[in-house]
Amino acid sequence: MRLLKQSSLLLLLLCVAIGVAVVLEVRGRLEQPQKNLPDRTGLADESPVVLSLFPNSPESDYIRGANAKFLRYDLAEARRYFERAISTGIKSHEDLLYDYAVVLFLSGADSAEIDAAVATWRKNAPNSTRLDPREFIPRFPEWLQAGSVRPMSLSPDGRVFAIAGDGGLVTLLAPASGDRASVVTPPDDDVQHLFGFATSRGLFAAGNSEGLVVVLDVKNLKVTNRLVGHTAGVLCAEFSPKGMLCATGSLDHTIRLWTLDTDDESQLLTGHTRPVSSLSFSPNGNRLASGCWDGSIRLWNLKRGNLKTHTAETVSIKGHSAVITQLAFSHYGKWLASSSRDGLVRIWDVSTGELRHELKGHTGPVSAVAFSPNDRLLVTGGGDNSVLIWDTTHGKLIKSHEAVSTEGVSAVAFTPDGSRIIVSDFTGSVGPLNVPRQQ
Amino acid sequence: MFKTGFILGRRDDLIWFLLMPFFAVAVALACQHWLSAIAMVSVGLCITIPHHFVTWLRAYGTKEDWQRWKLRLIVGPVVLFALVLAGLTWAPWTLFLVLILWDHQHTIMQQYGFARIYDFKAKSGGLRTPRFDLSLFWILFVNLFVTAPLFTRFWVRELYRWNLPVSVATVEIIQTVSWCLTGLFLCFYLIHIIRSLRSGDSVNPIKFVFIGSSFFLWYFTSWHTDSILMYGIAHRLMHGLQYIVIVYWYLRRKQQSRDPVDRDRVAGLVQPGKVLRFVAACLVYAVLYQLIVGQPLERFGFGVVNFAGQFSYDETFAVYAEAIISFAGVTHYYLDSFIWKVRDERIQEGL
Repeated sequence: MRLLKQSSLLLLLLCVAIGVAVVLEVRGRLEQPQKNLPDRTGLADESPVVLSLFPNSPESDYIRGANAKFLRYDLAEARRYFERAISTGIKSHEDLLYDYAVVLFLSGADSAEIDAAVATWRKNAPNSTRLDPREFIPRFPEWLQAGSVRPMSLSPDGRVFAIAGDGGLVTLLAPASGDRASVVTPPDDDVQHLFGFATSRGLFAAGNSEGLVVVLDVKNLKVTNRLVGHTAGVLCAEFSPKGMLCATGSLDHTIRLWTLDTDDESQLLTGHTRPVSSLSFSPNGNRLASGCWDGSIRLWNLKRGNLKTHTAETVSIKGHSAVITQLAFSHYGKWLASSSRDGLVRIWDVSTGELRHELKGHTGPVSAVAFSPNDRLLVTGGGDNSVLIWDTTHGKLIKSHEAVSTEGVSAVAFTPDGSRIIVSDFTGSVGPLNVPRQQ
Repeated sequence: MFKTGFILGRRDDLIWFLLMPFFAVAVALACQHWLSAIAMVSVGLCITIPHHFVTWLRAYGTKEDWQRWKLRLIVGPVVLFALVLAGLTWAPWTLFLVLILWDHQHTIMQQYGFARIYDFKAKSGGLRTPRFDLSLFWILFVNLFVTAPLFTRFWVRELYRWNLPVSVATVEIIQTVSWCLTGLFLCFYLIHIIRSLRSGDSVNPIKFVFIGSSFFLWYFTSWHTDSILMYGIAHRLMHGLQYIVIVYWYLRRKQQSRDPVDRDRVAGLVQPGKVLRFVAACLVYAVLYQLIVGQPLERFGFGVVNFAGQFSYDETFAVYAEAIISFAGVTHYYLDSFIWKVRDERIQEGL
């Protein structure tokens, strides 16, 4: 009888454990992290708790070093913390060993030191799928920033290009005419990251790692809105087609919808379980697509494109295995294109959420995607320095521009007449490409 | 009042059960100092995989046990293999969690089993001693998991991953409560021992040395290292080697107690003076296992210990390989749940 009781108790505990696990799994809380790219930046939510509980542990030193590297870009401090953690003899912390090699490379350390650090990382994690930082860094400098933040931005029509400078300076360039203008954001805002344009209203969004977003008036060169609400750095921002709404995605895993006339009012959209890296409004403003670090995409219904009437109904799309770098709705709103660090571009049917085409062609992560004005073409750019042009009807590659850049393509856009593609890279260079004649 | 009893004998117990945890910690520290992470993993696996192998020998190697548990020995693995495949197909993370929970339960039950053997050998302890001992193991192990810095980081991180954030104050409250409950239970345990002695039951002090040395390993490594790998090496060395030793001696005693004509095929592996043959069989199995699974060393064994932070389930990680890895683990846990009942007279014959 006692044996029966003990067995029953164990069985009950096992059933409860399985039940909890199944519920968590069904609710998508057990999804695995991405391992192959450095997305674990020390910015994890639990970091403050770990720092408070174990201030002298190697893990805490790693967190401090990662924060110095990713948030403040203080490489000397990052190196100091990483070296202190490594001196404890810990070998199973691959993030630490890898990030140390990255920091040495970035800070221009002696090549022997860098080689030794890379060798240590390789020796302890020989099966790691990460790329050698000596090859990786020159190709994809954007990933050295937090998440997929971009220090440059190209307007959807390719007419204006923005570059973030020191001291909150934002420089706006018009590649076609060569015009240049600058706007300085308030010193306290310390804008480091540039996000997106609202062509219709001449607005541009920029933000910083504290979660602040400022909206700039491109024409009048002044700050029109300061959007405060996110609790961590903002990774992306997009304007609705009419420029009345601004959506922002953050490291705090949330999306906020802002009405620009009353900038203190925002609507919180929750559901993603990792930082939100990309956003895109449908052409009619009824839908918002959001991409996440875990490779998932969500489609949000915004009935009238209005903050008050939006609903939380979402369609969840899964397919990519790494960070979504950019999303783009087709101009007729039927399709959604997604680019990802997994090297793939996918075209989805917006109404059903089903995959329409999977475009394989880039040899590295894809960072930019845009539809042609008639939706027949899709242009993609990536860290492999190539720009590829695809037929959206059949999902076939029709033109490949290799070696467009030496530092990785950061953004692509068709000109309004569809005759050219404007391409920018991570050095700040902007240039046009001709679009092949369509059959 | 005090009656000493040993599992294997005074000298062998000292080597394999009482000093083994200290040896394992020393080896783990040396590995941490001189070996790369991947080499440390392979050290652990060289023990872990053979310790699965001896389970098959123990469960399927004797006619007596085969006839006794035929149904369980055939149906159990088949059902488990089906469950593993289903889990890998539809709920890999659920399977993963179940494996982890079962692994820890299995770990506790092994050390508890050795404590029972010590009492059996010394004919010590009272009626309520097994229940108190089992509670002692569970409470000390759970307290270790809740309070040790090494594990606290893991469960805090997992809670955050599951959108269940905890503050520093909450963690500290949980840990304080855990220490209080542990302290309270230890008082009860002490009272139980005193009452047992007063009622005429004897106590085997070797058992307490064994329990103390086992928990020394777990507490020392999880409080004084930040490397899950070092904890894992020390733990696997102790757990695996002690298991291999007890199976070897159990089979050897069982076979020796029989007429030569009645001996099982496994007798050839456990003949006195032929221990190298047994060790060689274990190592051959480990190599074959690695070849069959065909996966990098870091992908199994310590993928489990490192929980979600390092575990990766992708296309290159063939389902068949993971099925074999998971199947070997769960079948080992399952078989151990009924082939080692110390109160069973037929099992006592081999102890």
